[in-house]
Amino acid sequence: MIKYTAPIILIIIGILLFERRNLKDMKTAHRWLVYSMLAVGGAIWIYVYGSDRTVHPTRWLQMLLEPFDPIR
Amino acid sequence: MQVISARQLVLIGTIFTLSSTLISVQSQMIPHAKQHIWLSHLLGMVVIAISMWLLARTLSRFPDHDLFQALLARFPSLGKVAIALYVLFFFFILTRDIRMLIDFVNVALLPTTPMLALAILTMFTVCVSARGGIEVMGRVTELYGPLLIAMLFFLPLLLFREFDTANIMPFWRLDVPGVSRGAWYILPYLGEAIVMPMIFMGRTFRFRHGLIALGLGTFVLIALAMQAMLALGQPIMERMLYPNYELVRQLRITDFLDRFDLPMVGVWLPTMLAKITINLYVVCYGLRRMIPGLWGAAMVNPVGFLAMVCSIWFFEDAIQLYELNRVWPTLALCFELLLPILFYLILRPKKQAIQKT
Repeated sequence: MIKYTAPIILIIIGILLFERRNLKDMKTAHRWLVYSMLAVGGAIWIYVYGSDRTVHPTRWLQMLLEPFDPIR
Repeated sequence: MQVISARQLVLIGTIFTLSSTLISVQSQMIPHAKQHIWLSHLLGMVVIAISMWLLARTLSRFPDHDLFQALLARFPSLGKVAIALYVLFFFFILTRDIRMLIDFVNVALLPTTPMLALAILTMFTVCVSARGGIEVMGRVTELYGPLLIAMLFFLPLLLFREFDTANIMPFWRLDVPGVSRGAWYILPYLGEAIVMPMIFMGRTFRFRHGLIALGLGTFVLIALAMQAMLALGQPIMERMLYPNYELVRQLRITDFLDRFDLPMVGVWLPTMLAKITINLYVVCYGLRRMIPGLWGAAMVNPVGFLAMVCSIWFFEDAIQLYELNRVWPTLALCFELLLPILFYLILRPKKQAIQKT
Protein backbone atom coordinates (compact mmCIF):
# COMPACT_ATOMS: atom_id res chain seq x y z
CA MET A 1 0.00 0.00 0.00
CA ILE A 2 2.69 2.48 1.08
CA LYS A 3 4.63 1.70 -2.13
CA TYR A 4 2.03 3.33 -4.39
CA THR A 5 0.59 5.90 -1.98
CA ALA A 6 3.94 7.42 -0.91
CA PRO A 7 4.82 9.06 -4.27
CA ILE A 8 1.39 10.60 -4.67
CA ILE A 9 1.30 11.92 -1.10
CA LEU A 10 4.74 13.46 -1.67
CA ILE A 11 3.51 15.11 -4.90
CA ILE A 12 0.42 16.51 -3.14
CA ILE A 13 2.55 17.86 -0.26
CA GLY A 14 4.95 19.35 -2.84
CA ILE A 15 2.11 21.13 -4.66
CA LEU A 16 0.66 22.46 -1.38
CA LEU A 17 4.08 23.78 -0.31
CA PHE A 18 4.68 25.33 -3.73
CA GLU A 19 1.26 27.01 -3.77
CA ARG A 20 1.10 27.95 -0.05
CA ARG A 21 1.31 31.71 -0.68
CA ASN A 22 -1.26 31.60 -3.48
CA LEU A 23 -3.56 29.46 -1.35
CA LYS A 24 -3.40 32.05 1.44
CA ASP A 25 -4.48 34.83 -0.93
CA MET A 26 -7.26 32.81 -2.55
CA LYS A 27 -10.96 33.01 -1.69
CA THR A 28 -12.11 30.16 0.54
CA ALA A 29 -14.23 28.58 -2.20
CA HIS A 30 -11.31 28.63 -4.66
CA ARG A 31 -8.98 27.18 -2.02
CA TRP A 32 -11.39 24.30 -1.49
CA LEU A 33 -11.53 23.76 -5.23
CA VAL A 34 -7.75 23.25 -5.21
CA TYR A 35 -7.94 20.91 -2.19
CA SER A 36 -10.75 18.89 -3.76
CA MET A 37 -8.82 18.52 -7.04
CA LEU A 38 -5.80 17.20 -5.16
CA ALA A 39 -7.99 14.88 -3.06
CA VAL A 40 -9.81 13.53 -6.12
CA GLY A 41 -6.48 13.01 -7.91
CA GLY A 42 -5.06 11.17 -4.89
CA ALA A 43 -8.19 9.01 -4.55
CA ILE A 44 -8.07 8.07 -8.25
CA TRP A 45 -4.42 7.17 -7.92
CA ILE A 46 -5.05 4.88 -4.93
CA TYR A 47 -8.01 3.31 -6.77
CA VAL A 48 -5.97 2.67 -9.93
CA TYR A 49 -3.02 1.10 -8.14
CA GLY A 50 -4.93 -0.49 -5.26
CA SER A 51 -7.74 -2.18 -7.17
CA ASP A 52 -7.23 -5.48 -8.99
CA ARG A 53 -9.89 -4.80 -11.62
CA THR A 54 -9.81 -1.10 -12.44
CA VAL A 55 -12.68 0.26 -14.52
CA HIS A 56 -11.32 2.56 -17.23
CA PRO A 57 -13.76 5.33 -18.27
CA THR A 58 -12.75 5.20 -21.93
CA ARG A 59 -13.94 1.57 -22.12
CA TRP A 60 -17.40 2.86 -21.25
CA LEU A 61 -17.02 5.78 -23.62
CA GLN A 62 -16.08 3.35 -26.38
CA MET A 63 -19.18 1.22 -25.71
CA LEU A 64 -21.35 4.34 -25.59
CA LEU A 65 -20.08 5.68 -28.92
CA GLU A 66 -19.97 2.33 -30.73
CA PRO A 67 -23.56 2.58 -32.17
CA PHE A 68 -22.67 5.95 -33.77
CA ASP A 69 -19.54 4.63 -35.48
CA PRO A 70 -20.10 4.81 -39.27
CA ILE A 71 -17.11 2.59 -40.07
CA ARG A 72 -18.26 -0.60 -38.31
CA MET B 1 -1.23 42.01 -21.39
CA GLN B 2 0.46 39.15 -23.17
CA VAL B 3 1.26 39.64 -26.84
CA ILE B 4 1.46 36.93 -29.48
CA SER B 5 2.70 37.55 -33.01
CA ALA B 6 0.87 36.23 -36.08
CA ARG B 7 3.75 33.81 -36.73
CA GLN B 8 3.56 32.38 -33.21
CA LEU B 9 -0.22 32.07 -33.57
CA VAL B 10 0.13 30.11 -36.82
CA LEU B 11 2.84 27.89 -35.33
CA ILE B 12 0.69 27.12 -32.27
CA GLY B 13 -2.11 26.02 -34.64
CA THR B 14 0.35 23.93 -36.69
CA ILE B 15 1.74 22.25 -33.58
CA PHE B 16 -1.80 21.40 -32.50
CA THR B 17 -2.51 19.82 -35.88
CA LEU B 18 0.80 18.03 -36.20
CA SER B 19 2.40 16.91 -32.93
CA SER B 20 0.06 14.18 -31.67
CA THR B 21 -1.36 13.29 -35.10
CA LEU B 22 1.97 12.01 -36.35
CA ILE B 23 2.27 9.45 -33.52
CA SER B 24 -0.05 6.64 -34.58
CA VAL B 25 -3.38 7.60 -36.16
CA GLN B 26 -2.01 7.36 -39.71
CA SER B 27 -1.47 3.61 -39.37
CA GLN B 28 -5.23 3.27 -38.72
CA MET B 29 -6.04 5.27 -41.85
CA ILE B 30 -3.88 3.12 -44.11
CA PRO B 31 -6.08 -0.05 -44.27
CA HIS B 32 -8.99 2.13 -45.50
CA ALA B 33 -7.38 4.88 -47.57
CA LYS B 34 -4.39 2.83 -48.82
CA GLN B 35 -2.23 4.72 -51.32
CA HIS B 36 -4.73 7.63 -51.28
CA ILE B 37 -4.05 8.49 -47.68
CA TRP B 38 -3.10 11.99 -48.87
CA LEU B 39 -6.68 12.50 -50.10
CA SER B 40 -8.05 11.51 -46.68
CA HIS B 41 -5.86 14.18 -45.10
CA LEU B 42 -7.11 16.77 -47.60
CA LEU B 43 -10.75 15.79 -47.03
CA GLY B 44 -10.28 16.12 -43.27
CA MET B 45 -8.60 19.47 -43.75
CA VAL B 46 -11.49 20.84 -45.84
CA VAL B 47 -14.05 19.89 -43.15
CA ILE B 48 -12.00 21.49 -40.38
CA ALA B 49 -11.31 24.58 -42.54
CA ILE B 50 -15.10 25.08 -42.74
CA SER B 51 -15.31 24.87 -38.95
CA MET B 52 -12.40 27.29 -38.64
CA TRP B 53 -14.12 29.74 -41.02
CA LEU B 54 -17.32 29.57 -38.96
CA LEU B 55 -15.38 30.30 -35.76
CA ALA B 56 -13.41 33.12 -37.38
CA ARG B 57 -16.62 34.73 -38.68
CA THR B 58 -18.25 34.37 -35.26
CA LEU B 59 -15.24 35.88 -33.53
CA SER B 60 -15.05 38.79 -36.01
CA ARG B 61 -18.33 40.00 -34.42
CA PHE B 62 -16.44 40.31 -31.10
CA PRO B 63 -13.07 41.97 -31.87
CA ASP B 64 -12.14 42.47 -28.19
CA HIS B 65 -13.15 39.00 -27.01
CA ASP B 66 -11.97 35.46 -27.41
CA LEU B 67 -14.63 32.77 -27.86
CA PHE B 68 -15.00 32.07 -24.14
CA GLN B 69 -15.43 35.78 -23.37
CA ALA B 70 -17.89 36.18 -26.25
CA LEU B 71 -19.98 33.27 -24.96
CA LEU B 72 -20.08 34.75 -21.47
CA ALA B 73 -20.87 38.26 -22.70
CA ARG B 74 -23.83 37.09 -24.79
CA PHE B 75 -25.22 34.17 -22.77
CA PRO B 76 -23.99 34.39 -19.14
CA SER B 77 -25.54 31.09 -17.95
CA LEU B 78 -25.60 28.96 -21.10
CA GLY B 79 -22.18 30.36 -21.98
CA LYS B 80 -20.78 28.88 -18.77
CA VAL B 81 -22.26 25.50 -19.70
CA ALA B 82 -20.65 25.70 -23.15
CA ILE B 83 -17.28 26.69 -21.61
CA ALA B 84 -17.57 23.81 -19.10
CA LEU B 85 -18.13 21.39 -22.01
CA TYR B 86 -15.07 22.74 -23.83
CA VAL B 87 -13.00 22.56 -20.63
CA LEU B 88 -13.95 18.87 -20.28
CA PHE B 89 -13.19 18.30 -23.98
CA PHE B 90 -9.73 19.86 -23.77
CA PHE B 91 -9.09 18.12 -20.45
CA PHE B 92 -9.73 14.81 -22.18
CA ILE B 93 -7.37 15.75 -25.03
CA LEU B 94 -4.82 16.79 -22.39
CA THR B 95 -4.99 13.40 -20.65
CA ARG B 96 -4.88 11.55 -23.99
CA ASP B 97 -1.82 13.49 -25.17
CA ILE B 98 0.00 12.91 -21.86
CA ARG B 99 -0.74 9.19 -22.11
CA MET B 100 0.30 9.03 -25.78
CA LEU B 101 3.59 10.73 -24.98
CA ILE B 102 4.27 8.53 -21.93
CA ASP B 103 3.40 5.35 -23.85
CA PHE B 104 5.60 6.35 -26.79
CA VAL B 105 8.60 7.15 -24.57
CA ASN B 106 8.02 3.97 -22.58
CA VAL B 107 7.70 1.71 -25.64
CA ALA B 108 10.25 3.25 -27.97
CA LEU B 109 12.87 5.00 -25.86
CA LEU B 110 12.89 4.09 -22.14
CA PRO B 111 11.31 0.63 -21.74
CA THR B 112 12.57 -0.02 -18.20
CA THR B 113 11.62 3.38 -16.74
CA PRO B 114 8.38 3.23 -14.67
CA MET B 115 5.39 5.01 -16.17
CA LEU B 116 4.95 7.08 -13.01
CA ALA B 117 8.47 8.53 -13.35
CA LEU B 118 7.77 9.53 -16.96
CA ALA B 119 4.40 11.02 -16.01
CA ILE B 120 5.89 13.06 -13.15
CA LEU B 121 8.76 14.39 -15.29
CA THR B 122 6.36 15.28 -18.14
CA MET B 123 3.91 17.06 -15.87
CA PHE B 124 6.62 18.92 -13.97
CA THR B 125 7.91 20.38 -17.27
CA VAL B 126 4.41 21.14 -18.49
CA CYS B 127 3.26 22.82 -15.26
CA VAL B 128 6.36 25.03 -15.04
CA SER B 129 5.88 26.12 -18.68
CA ALA B 130 2.12 26.70 -18.35
CA ARG B 131 2.61 29.06 -15.40
CA GLY B 132 4.55 31.34 -17.76
CA GLY B 133 1.40 31.94 -19.81
CA ILE B 134 0.68 31.84 -23.51
CA GLU B 135 3.51 34.23 -24.43
CA VAL B 136 6.13 31.79 -23.15
CA MET B 137 4.44 29.00 -25.09
CA GLY B 138 4.43 31.18 -28.19
CA ARG B 139 8.20 31.56 -27.88
CA VAL B 140 8.80 27.85 -27.28
CA THR B 141 6.67 27.01 -30.31
CA GLU B 142 8.52 29.59 -32.39
CA LEU B 143 11.79 27.89 -31.48
CA TYR B 144 10.95 24.22 -32.01
CA GLY B 145 8.01 24.42 -34.47
CA PRO B 146 10.01 25.63 -37.52
CA LEU B 147 12.83 23.22 -36.61
CA LEU B 148 10.44 20.25 -36.64
CA ILE B 149 8.76 21.36 -39.87
CA ALA B 150 12.13 21.97 -41.60
CA MET B 151 13.44 18.61 -40.40
CA LEU B 152 10.40 16.77 -41.71
CA PHE B 153 10.74 18.56 -45.07
CA PHE B 154 14.36 17.39 -45.39
CA LEU B 155 13.47 13.77 -44.66
CA PRO B 156 12.92 12.80 -48.33
CA LEU B 157 16.50 13.83 -49.15
CA LEU B 158 17.82 11.39 -46.55
CA LEU B 159 15.32 8.61 -47.22
CA PHE B 160 15.35 8.77 -51.01
CA ARG B 161 17.21 5.46 -51.41
CA GLU B 162 14.59 3.58 -49.38
CA PHE B 163 11.64 4.62 -51.57
CA ASP B 164 9.87 2.07 -53.75
CA THR B 165 7.17 3.52 -56.01
CA ALA B 166 5.52 0.09 -56.32
CA ASN B 167 4.24 0.68 -52.77
CA ILE B 168 1.83 3.39 -53.91
CA MET B 169 0.46 1.56 -56.95
CA PRO B 170 -2.18 1.51 -58.46
CA PHE B 171 -2.14 5.25 -57.94
CA TRP B 172 -5.17 6.16 -60.09
CA ARG B 173 -7.62 3.52 -58.78
CA LEU B 174 -9.60 5.66 -56.37
CA ASP B 175 -11.67 4.15 -53.55
CA VAL B 176 -13.94 6.99 -52.41
CA PRO B 177 -15.57 5.20 -49.40
CA GLY B 178 -12.10 4.11 -48.25
CA VAL B 179 -10.76 7.66 -48.50
CA SER B 180 -13.77 8.92 -46.49
CA ARG B 181 -13.19 6.29 -43.79
CA GLY B 182 -9.54 7.35 -43.63
CA ALA B 183 -10.62 10.99 -43.21
CA TRP B 184 -12.91 9.92 -40.33
CA TYR B 185 -9.87 8.92 -38.27
CA ILE B 186 -7.90 12.10 -38.81
CA LEU B 187 -10.77 14.59 -38.47
CA PRO B 188 -10.68 15.00 -34.66
CA TYR B 189 -6.90 15.35 -34.63
CA LEU B 190 -6.88 18.10 -37.26
CA GLY B 191 -9.88 19.67 -35.53
CA GLU B 192 -7.87 20.32 -32.40
CA ALA B 193 -6.67 23.47 -34.18
CA ILE B 194 -9.97 25.06 -33.05
CA VAL B 195 -8.10 25.87 -29.86
CA MET B 196 -6.89 29.08 -31.54
CA PRO B 197 -10.15 31.09 -31.28
CA MET B 198 -10.61 29.86 -27.69
CA ILE B 199 -7.56 31.75 -26.41
CA PHE B 200 -7.01 34.54 -28.94
CA MET B 201 -9.17 37.62 -29.42
CA GLY B 202 -11.18 38.41 -32.54
CA ARG B 203 -8.71 41.07 -33.65
CA THR B 204 -5.71 38.71 -33.22
CA PHE B 205 -7.16 35.55 -34.75
CA ARG B 206 -8.10 35.68 -38.42
CA PHE B 207 -9.34 32.90 -40.68
CA ARG B 208 -6.16 33.06 -42.74
CA HIS B 209 -4.10 32.24 -39.62
CA GLY B 210 -6.22 29.17 -38.99
CA LEU B 211 -6.07 28.11 -42.62
CA ILE B 212 -2.28 28.51 -42.87
CA ALA B 213 -1.80 26.56 -39.60
CA LEU B 214 -4.15 23.82 -40.73
CA GLY B 215 -2.68 23.72 -44.24
CA LEU B 216 0.92 23.60 -43.05
CA GLY B 217 0.21 20.87 -40.50
CA THR B 218 -1.76 18.81 -43.02
CA PHE B 219 0.91 19.22 -45.69
CA VAL B 220 3.64 17.95 -43.37
CA LEU B 221 1.41 15.05 -42.31
CA ILE B 222 0.75 14.13 -45.96
CA ALA B 223 4.50 14.28 -46.70
CA LEU B 224 5.20 11.98 -43.74
CA ALA B 225 2.44 9.51 -44.62
CA MET B 226 3.51 9.28 -48.27
CA GLN B 227 7.15 8.77 -47.29
CA ALA B 228 6.14 6.03 -44.86
CA MET B 229 4.08 4.44 -47.66
CA LEU B 230 7.01 4.66 -50.09
CA ALA B 231 9.63 3.43 -47.66
CA LEU B 232 7.73 0.88 -45.56
CA GLY B 233 4.77 -0.07 -47.73
CA GLN B 234 1.14 -0.49 -46.76
CA PRO B 235 1.30 -3.99 -45.14
CA ILE B 236 4.05 -2.98 -42.72
CA MET B 237 2.69 0.51 -42.01
CA GLU B 238 -0.78 -0.70 -40.99
CA ARG B 239 0.73 -3.15 -38.48
CA MET B 240 2.86 -0.51 -36.76
CA LEU B 241 1.76 1.38 -33.67
CA TYR B 242 4.28 4.15 -34.45
CA PRO B 243 4.78 4.11 -38.25
CA ASN B 244 6.52 7.47 -38.47
CA TYR B 245 9.01 6.51 -35.78
CA GLU B 246 9.75 3.38 -37.78
CA LEU B 247 10.24 5.61 -40.82
CA VAL B 248 12.86 7.79 -39.11
CA ARG B 249 14.56 4.65 -37.81
CA GLN B 250 15.28 3.85 -41.45
CA LEU B 251 17.60 6.86 -41.53
CA ARG B 252 21.25 5.92 -41.46
CA ILE B 253 23.76 8.63 -42.25
CA THR B 254 27.25 7.17 -42.02
CA ASP B 255 28.30 4.89 -39.14
CA PHE B 256 28.36 7.76 -36.66
CA LEU B 257 24.72 8.69 -37.13
CA ASP B 258 23.03 5.31 -37.29
CA ARG B 259 20.65 6.42 -34.49
CA PHE B 260 19.51 9.56 -36.29
CA ASP B 261 16.01 8.92 -34.92
CA LEU B 262 17.11 10.17 -31.48
CA PRO B 263 17.86 13.81 -32.49
CA MET B 264 14.63 13.81 -34.51
CA VAL B 265 12.61 12.65 -31.51
CA GLY B 266 14.55 15.25 -29.51
CA VAL B 267 13.07 18.00 -31.69
CA TRP B 268 9.57 16.49 -31.77
CA LEU B 269 9.32 15.99 -27.98
CA PRO B 270 9.42 19.74 -27.08
CA THR B 271 6.65 20.43 -29.62
CA MET B 272 4.53 17.68 -28.03
CA LEU B 273 5.25 19.14 -24.59
CA ALA B 274 4.28 22.58 -25.94
CA LYS B 275 0.98 21.16 -27.17
CA ILE B 276 0.26 19.57 -23.79
CA THR B 277 1.18 22.84 -22.08
CA ILE B 278 -1.19 24.87 -24.24
CA ASN B 279 -3.93 22.31 -23.56
CA LEU B 280 -3.34 22.72 -19.83
CA TYR B 281 -3.38 26.50 -20.27
CA VAL B 282 -6.73 26.32 -22.11
CA VAL B 283 -8.28 24.19 -19.36
CA CYS B 284 -7.10 26.63 -16.64
CA TYR B 285 -8.18 29.61 -18.76
CA GLY B 286 -11.65 28.08 -19.22
CA LEU B 287 -11.93 27.52 -15.45
CA ARG B 288 -10.93 31.14 -14.87
CA ARG B 289 -13.69 32.32 -17.21
CA MET B 290 -16.27 30.05 -15.57
CA ILE B 291 -15.40 30.96 -11.98
CA PRO B 292 -15.05 34.75 -11.57
CA GLY B 293 -12.02 35.83 -9.53
CA LEU B 294 -10.21 32.51 -9.89
CA TRP B 295 -6.48 32.94 -10.45
CA GLY B 296 -5.61 30.76 -13.46
CA ALA B 297 -1.87 30.39 -12.71
CA ALA B 298 -2.62 28.96 -9.24
CA MET B 299 -4.81 26.28 -10.85
CA VAL B 300 -2.03 25.00 -13.12
CA ASN B 301 -0.46 22.58 -10.63
CA PRO B 302 -3.70 21.05 -9.27
CA VAL B 303 -5.19 20.66 -12.78
CA GLY B 304 -1.88 19.28 -14.07
CA PHE B 305 -1.79 16.78 -11.20
CA LEU B 306 -5.39 15.69 -11.87
CA ALA B 307 -4.63 15.37 -15.61
CA MET B 308 -1.56 13.23 -14.88
CA VAL B 309 -3.55 10.86 -12.66
CA CYS B 310 -6.48 10.74 -15.11
CA SER B 311 -4.13 9.99 -18.03
CA ILE B 312 -3.22 6.76 -16.25
CA TRP B 313 -6.79 5.98 -15.11
CA PHE B 314 -8.72 6.82 -18.31
CA PHE B 315 -6.84 4.48 -20.66
CA GLU B 316 -6.11 0.82 -20.07
CA ASP B 317 -3.03 0.64 -22.31
CA ALA B 318 -1.56 2.00 -25.54
CA ILE B 319 -3.65 -0.42 -27.65
CA GLN B 320 -6.93 0.66 -26.06
CA LEU B 321 -6.03 4.30 -26.66
CA TYR B 322 -5.30 3.35 -30.28
CA GLU B 323 -8.68 1.61 -30.64
CA LEU B 324 -10.49 4.63 -29.20
CA ASN B 325 -9.50 6.60 -32.33
CA ARG B 326 -12.22 4.73 -34.27
CA VAL B 327 -15.15 6.00 -32.17
CA TRP B 328 -13.65 9.23 -30.80
CA PRO B 329 -14.53 11.33 -33.92
CA THR B 330 -18.26 10.97 -33.13
CA LEU B 331 -17.85 12.91 -29.90
CA ALA B 332 -15.03 15.18 -31.05
CA LEU B 333 -16.99 16.42 -34.07
CA CYS B 334 -19.74 17.70 -31.76
CA PHE B 335 -17.17 20.15 -30.35
CA GLU B 336 -15.18 20.72 -33.51
CA LEU B 337 -18.02 21.09 -36.02
CA LEU B 338 -21.54 21.12 -34.54
CA LEU B 339 -20.93 23.68 -31.78
CA PRO B 340 -19.04 26.05 -34.16
CA ILE B 341 -22.08 25.88 -36.53
CA LEU B 342 -24.36 26.69 -33.58
CA PHE B 343 -22.10 29.58 -32.49
CA TYR B 344 -22.09 30.97 -36.03
CA LEU B 345 -25.88 30.96 -36.11
CA ILE B 346 -26.69 32.37 -32.65
CA LEU B 347 -23.61 34.10 -31.22
CA ARG B 348 -24.04 37.77 -32.14
CA PRO B 349 -23.45 40.93 -30.08
CA LYS B 350 -26.49 42.54 -28.47
CA LYS B 351 -28.19 45.17 -30.61
CA GLN B 352 -27.46 47.90 -28.02
CA ALA B 353 -23.76 47.11 -28.21
CA ILE B 354 -23.84 47.33 -32.01
CA GLN B 355 -25.61 50.74 -31.91
CA LYS B 356 -23.08 52.13 -29.41
CA THR B 357 -20.16 51.11 -31.60
